[in-house]
Amino acid sequence: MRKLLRSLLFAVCFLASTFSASAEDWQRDNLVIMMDCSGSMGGEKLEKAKNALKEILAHVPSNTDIGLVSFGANSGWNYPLGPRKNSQLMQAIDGLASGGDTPLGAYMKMGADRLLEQKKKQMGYGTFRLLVITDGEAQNPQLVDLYAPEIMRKGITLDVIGVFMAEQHTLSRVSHSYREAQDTQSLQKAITEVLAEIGQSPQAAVTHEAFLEIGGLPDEMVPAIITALTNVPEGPIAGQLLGRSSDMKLVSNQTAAPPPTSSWGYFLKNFGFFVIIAVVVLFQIIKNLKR
Amino acid sequence: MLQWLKKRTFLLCFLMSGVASTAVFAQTFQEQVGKVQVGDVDMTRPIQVPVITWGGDMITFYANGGLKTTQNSIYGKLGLNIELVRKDDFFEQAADYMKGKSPFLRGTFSMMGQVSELIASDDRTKGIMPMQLTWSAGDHCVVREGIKTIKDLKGKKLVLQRGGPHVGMLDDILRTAQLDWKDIEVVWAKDLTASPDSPAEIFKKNPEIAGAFMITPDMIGLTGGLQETGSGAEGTMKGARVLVSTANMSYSIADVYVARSDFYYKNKPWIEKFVAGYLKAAEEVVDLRKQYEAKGSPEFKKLLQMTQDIYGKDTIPTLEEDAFGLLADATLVGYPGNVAFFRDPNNRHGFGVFMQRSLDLAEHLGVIRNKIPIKNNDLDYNAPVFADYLSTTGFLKGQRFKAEAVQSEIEQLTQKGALDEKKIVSFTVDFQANQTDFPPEEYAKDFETVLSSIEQFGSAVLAIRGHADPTLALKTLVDAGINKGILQQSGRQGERVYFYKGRPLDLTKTGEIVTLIEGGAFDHGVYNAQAVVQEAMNLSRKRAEAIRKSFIEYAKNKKIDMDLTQVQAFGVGIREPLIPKPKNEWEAKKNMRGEFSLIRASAETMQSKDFDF
Repeated sequence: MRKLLRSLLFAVCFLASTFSASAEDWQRDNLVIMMDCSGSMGGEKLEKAKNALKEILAHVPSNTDIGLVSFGANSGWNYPLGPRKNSQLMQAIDGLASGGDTPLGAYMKMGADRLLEQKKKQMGYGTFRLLVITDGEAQNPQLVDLYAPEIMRKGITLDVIGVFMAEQHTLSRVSHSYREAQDTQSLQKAITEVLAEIGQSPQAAVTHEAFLEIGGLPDEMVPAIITALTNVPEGPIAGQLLGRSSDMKLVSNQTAAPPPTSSWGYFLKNFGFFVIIAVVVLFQIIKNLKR
Repeated sequence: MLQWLKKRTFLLCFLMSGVASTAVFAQTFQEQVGKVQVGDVDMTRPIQVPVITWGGDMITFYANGGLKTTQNSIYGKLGLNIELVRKDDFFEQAADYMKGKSPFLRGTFSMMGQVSELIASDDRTKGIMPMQLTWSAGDHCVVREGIKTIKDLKGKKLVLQRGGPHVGMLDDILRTAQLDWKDIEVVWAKDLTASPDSPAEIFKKNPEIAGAFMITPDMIGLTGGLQETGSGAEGTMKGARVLVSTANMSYSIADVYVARSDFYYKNKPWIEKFVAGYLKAAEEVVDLRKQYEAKGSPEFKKLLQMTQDIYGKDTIPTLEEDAFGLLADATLVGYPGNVAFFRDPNNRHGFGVFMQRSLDLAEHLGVIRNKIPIKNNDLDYNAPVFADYLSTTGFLKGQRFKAEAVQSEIEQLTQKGALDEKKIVSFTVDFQANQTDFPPEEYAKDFETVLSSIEQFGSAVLAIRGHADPTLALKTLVDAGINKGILQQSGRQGERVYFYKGRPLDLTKTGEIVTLIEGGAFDHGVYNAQAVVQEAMNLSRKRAEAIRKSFIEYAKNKKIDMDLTQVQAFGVGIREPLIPKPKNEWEAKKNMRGEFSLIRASAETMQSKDFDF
């Protein structure tokens, strides 16, 4: 258990340290922690997690706005997103109590919507991060599948820490980072990778290799890609992404379906439905004619 | 409609008559006036003071109680006896001035530059400028589709009224764009408005003309409004829009009085009362206008009626629209504006700068041969006649813009890709990768260019926009695509070919790739392109803030007190790269840049002010 907590502490410490210090309102860093306090987190597990959170959050830079939202016995915003006030924040963490189901999707939306509201206030500048700490699968996994891609598309970095999970959480497939709290080594490795990405400014990281890598993109396609990357839709999480296509199911690390190998196969795939309809209609016409 | 503006510039039509289709005129002002016998000022009757058809002169009517001084008027109470004479013909004005019929000239500052040589020909008539009345906010340069900024005017044909107030305005625009008169071709129109020979009508008929200078009613007719673009419907011209307006270039056209030296020095207390009375009237009219807009004001309506009675119904057909519009297009400067204009040596749109420019322009146009300046007044603005008599004697300029509204408006325009339509001019400052410090001395040349170009633009926002290079975001996206199996790659580094759905990635797949990006297919996992885009956005804003700080410091060192709300920083991120797919570090650096842009922000972003200075 101590090992687990150390891992948890380490993870959140690193996440917090990626936020840069800033005084201006427009560039504030925002972190919403979404804590799973469902029945399965009861007893020692929750107490240990609370102690870990209290210790870590005390060290988050003071100009990082923090929010704490949980589902369990005291569901909702335990500490609304805003500047850190230590005594109130610690009181909020102490107040976390376990009980009930795991409505993960709905609470992810709640946390993300508040971050998006803040993003609008900050004119799109700053950083926005949703950290989900959970020990079990959602009771409504379809909502998680529905919301998670939109949360990420809208510029929120989604980090997940799975604690005491026998298998990888569903969110491991639909998040920016997923960390197992049972394996310190792999967790440390994942965090190091995240830090390598986030800790550097874009210009600093550009190497000669980068120019060679993007060289293979068609020239005329690049402006459209840049527009697509920068035109991030506004508004709360709606459970849909404009232009989300059927071959974009949330099955990461799977190669997209290869193109059909024969023209017959291609015809069947694209027009099979119409062929069946045509056959049925033809059959009905012949049947009527016979009468 | 609004014949008043036509009249206002009538005098300069004469001034520049006989002009060829170039910017250089054949005769000097003095030659066109002809020989005039100089006489002493007639003191046996009420002092004749010329007025022209302009909103600033409505204040003079109010101060005087009409054309002749009434007992209860401001001038009446001050013991002055004045006869206001409408003189839109500047040649007549100049002749009366020289003869001694009136000790005053009334016109725009650039007009005073034209007359300067004539009035300097006799010691008695040498000019002294006692007062500034207003700045103009109702003159516009309208352009066709395709002209994005004023730099695009190079090599283009422009139409404007021969000798009208827009001559000086065009001169200011050319200077801002770092262009010269020889860089453009001028088509001269005879009239200002409401005739087939006016700039708006010539512009409509001749597609070779890229832009035209016009007054507010014509501008609305062609574009639909100051912030609009003509749709082609309801008489508007498709694609026509305002490129520059004195609503933004608010320190371009100054309306002033000039007094004869002999009268000025012999009647100093009279001059002081004349100026103080006008400034008092300006304060009262500002208050009455507020009352009128809030709940109506019989006093203000009386002024509108008086204006119509004096100018006639031909010039001012309606009170609500035309008389009110006449006043609205004139921005009052009041007491603080006069002190700033005549006394602040560091004022980049003050008397000294204007005098020099109007003489330069007059010489360039060929209407004077010798540059003989008109003198600044020596009024004591701290004297009781001003300090104890007037209410608005503070010099707190106040903030010109609502900072948050400006931020919101420009961010929205950027996101919609519509900011280019609001740009007047842009300048670029290059910087290095990771650069966050911009020492003023290192960027002195760039900063000076920007400073000298924005002097007249008191009501335009100076947006400092930081741009970042998109290379890392693109690379991260490619890495994410490969990691998720959306893209496959082949070939050695430097000869990479990407495949999508088993076929080489080519332009025909743009739509599908864009759909995948918009659908979030590239987002999850360790390669987070959105985070890189966000970081670039933050970084570009930080750079813009650093440039802003440095620029303001530079201005401060030059003793220029910048309105901090007018200069604002924005981060553009990777949205507008100059080279979308850089091949090397040199090309990537081209994308890392700071851009100074003068933006025509909407009226909603501006703070309401009684006087502008």
